[in-house]
Amino acid sequence: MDQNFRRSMGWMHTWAGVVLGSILFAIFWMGTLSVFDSEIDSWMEPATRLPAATSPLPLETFRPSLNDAITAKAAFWNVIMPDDRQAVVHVHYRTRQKFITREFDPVTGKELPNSGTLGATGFIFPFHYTLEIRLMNIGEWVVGLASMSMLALCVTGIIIHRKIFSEFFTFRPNKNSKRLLLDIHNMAGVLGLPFHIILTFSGLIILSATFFPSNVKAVYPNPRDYFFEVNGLTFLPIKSGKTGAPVASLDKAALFARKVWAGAEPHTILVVNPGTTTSRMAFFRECDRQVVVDRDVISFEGPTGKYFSRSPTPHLIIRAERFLSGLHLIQFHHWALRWFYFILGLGSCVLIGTGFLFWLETRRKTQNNTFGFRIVEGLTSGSVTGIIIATLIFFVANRLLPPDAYLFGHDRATLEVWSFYLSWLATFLHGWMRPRQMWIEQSTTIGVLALLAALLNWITTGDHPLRTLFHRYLWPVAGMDGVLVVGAALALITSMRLSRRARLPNTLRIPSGEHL
Amino acid sequence: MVSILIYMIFYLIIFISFSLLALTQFPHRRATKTSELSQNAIFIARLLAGFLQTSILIMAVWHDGGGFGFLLWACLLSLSAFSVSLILGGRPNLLAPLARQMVLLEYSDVNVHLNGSRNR
Amino acid sequence: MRRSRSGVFARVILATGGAYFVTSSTLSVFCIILFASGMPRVDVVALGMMLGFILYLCLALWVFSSRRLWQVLTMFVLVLTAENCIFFVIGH
Repeated sequence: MDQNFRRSMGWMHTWAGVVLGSILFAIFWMGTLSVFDSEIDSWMEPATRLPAATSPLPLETFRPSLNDAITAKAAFWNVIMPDDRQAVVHVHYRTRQKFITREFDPVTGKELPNSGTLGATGFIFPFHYTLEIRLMNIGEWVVGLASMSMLALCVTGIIIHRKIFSEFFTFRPNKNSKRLLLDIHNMAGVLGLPFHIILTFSGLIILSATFFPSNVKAVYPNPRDYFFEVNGLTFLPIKSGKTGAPVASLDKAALFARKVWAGAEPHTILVVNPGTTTSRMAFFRECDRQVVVDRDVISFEGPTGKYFSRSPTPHLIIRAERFLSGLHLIQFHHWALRWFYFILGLGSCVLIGTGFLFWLETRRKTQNNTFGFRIVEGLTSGSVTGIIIATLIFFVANRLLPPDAYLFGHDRATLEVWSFYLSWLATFLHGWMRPRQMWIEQSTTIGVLALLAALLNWITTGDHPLRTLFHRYLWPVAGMDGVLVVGAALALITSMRLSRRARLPNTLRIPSGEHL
Repeated sequence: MVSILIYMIFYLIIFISFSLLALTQFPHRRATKTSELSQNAIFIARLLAGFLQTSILIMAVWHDGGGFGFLLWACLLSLSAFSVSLILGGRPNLLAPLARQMVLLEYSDVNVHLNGSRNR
Repeated sequence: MRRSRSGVFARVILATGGAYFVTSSTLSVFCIILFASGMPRVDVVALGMMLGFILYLCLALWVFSSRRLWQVLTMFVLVLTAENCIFFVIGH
């Protein structure tokens, strides 16, 4: 290959990685956690740890909350029925001021107390694709830019990798740290390449309408129509009607939907513009047995309950689009795949982290004290170990804050988020102030915090590992505790190794295992 | 439970196929302290690995359906390649028996040659 | 590798902004043409999106790999003008 071409690609790989690596790490880390968002939710909201119901509740049970939504002039109201991953019924509606979530016991239909947390679905998952910067969608644009550069990084990484096949399986744990970091970086990059590329690409596809609005505008007079059409929601664009109309029986409509689907249950029930003369009810069929998200939607006129429409079967291109978004959103039911996603997502995090460390390691001798080096060093500590620490602080705060915590005009859920941001900021500062010890100290912190989180879960809820393992409905909690403990062990081992190496004098650091 | 067992078997077979691929390469043969293979044996080993991986794809699709099967296969490829690298890096001796068995490919190769010459 | 600071800056701008606008306008033209030739418009847009990211990636890599930046710039300007002309002729 042309030497010059390869060199310019290497240049791009280095600098795109250093500049956007922190954002990429945050996206991949939060995305990896979002794989288990419902499970993290049930860990963070102990009140929702309930055995699954044997039969679904009648929908009229939720009529009081629908009436609340009508009085609050909500734009929509929906019920999400329990599934294999979450036992409780979720009711959401959006009023003029805010988005309201209420949870109901799946057996008795009683409302559960407010959990006072955003949980994974309310904080970690949105952070994954908006970075919680809502202003003018800037967050989504930054995520888009980072994802494009991730694709570019994957391609340039392949180009600059000299011996991609002859070093396909190469991993030399006994070589010097620079070589070792590069080996891990190559291994995570090359072997996980399908995952990195497909997940990044499908993530871009999901947000594509945000990134290329002109594309939609070229053929749609109203860009919202594209969103409705591509998601099978063509019943939605309705004019606002007069208020004061009732919403017809939900159960009767559900009966009709079940008959059409030959007995399949609705998973989501949506009422748009409830309480107006033009309201619509829609029933979304469960589709967790396939990757493609083609939820069959049957809609009814709200006030009368008359059948209105059914979503058409999608064409090939739309099916391809939904396959890609489906494999990214993982709404399906497949435990093995879910765990594989989680492990490979951690692999992506390792890829980005080792990329940073390799950059630092190659420059440590020559430009140890330059301003740029120190900046990147602090950035690395904050963005790699820092975000992990911040997430763990988020979990610990969730277990420690009292239910009615209220501070400086912020409620409990906001305080948790603040604890996340403040500790994240602290890790950046720590990285800048103590460059020599930061890796040891921060990985020790990770270990201690992860253990503390698992322990606090036991103390505050009484769900200890033995109990969680022997009750099927507590498995999500057991899994989360297990991951925390394993992560803690890994972090502590790492910090012990690092500190042992730091104590060795420089001259003794001859790579062992060179006997061949 | 049955599914977990089946996935373990898939994983093992893909693991073996990647080990076959890795053990055709000189550095890894050296690490397992086995002699180098002839070009022909390398070719057969790679063909065998490719065959194993394709058959696992087919079996995964058959067991889990098109979408899930394909994703499962893709994830298993990455994961088992990771584990092959880790084992070759840390404990290459664990793969030495397989590396020694691969010499059999050499013998079968010779047999084919002999048979071929006899027929001629 | 040594590069002038302004050159790097120009490349970054051209690879993110320039390539974005070229992709975006190419997609618009692509959508209009396919839509005019009778494809359902949902399919047209969804297909355009999927191809768009690949095009954007290729353009961005091209900006960084090409030796003469002015060539890329001229190409981008030409393509943008041509596509906007098409857009005005067919799109309205």
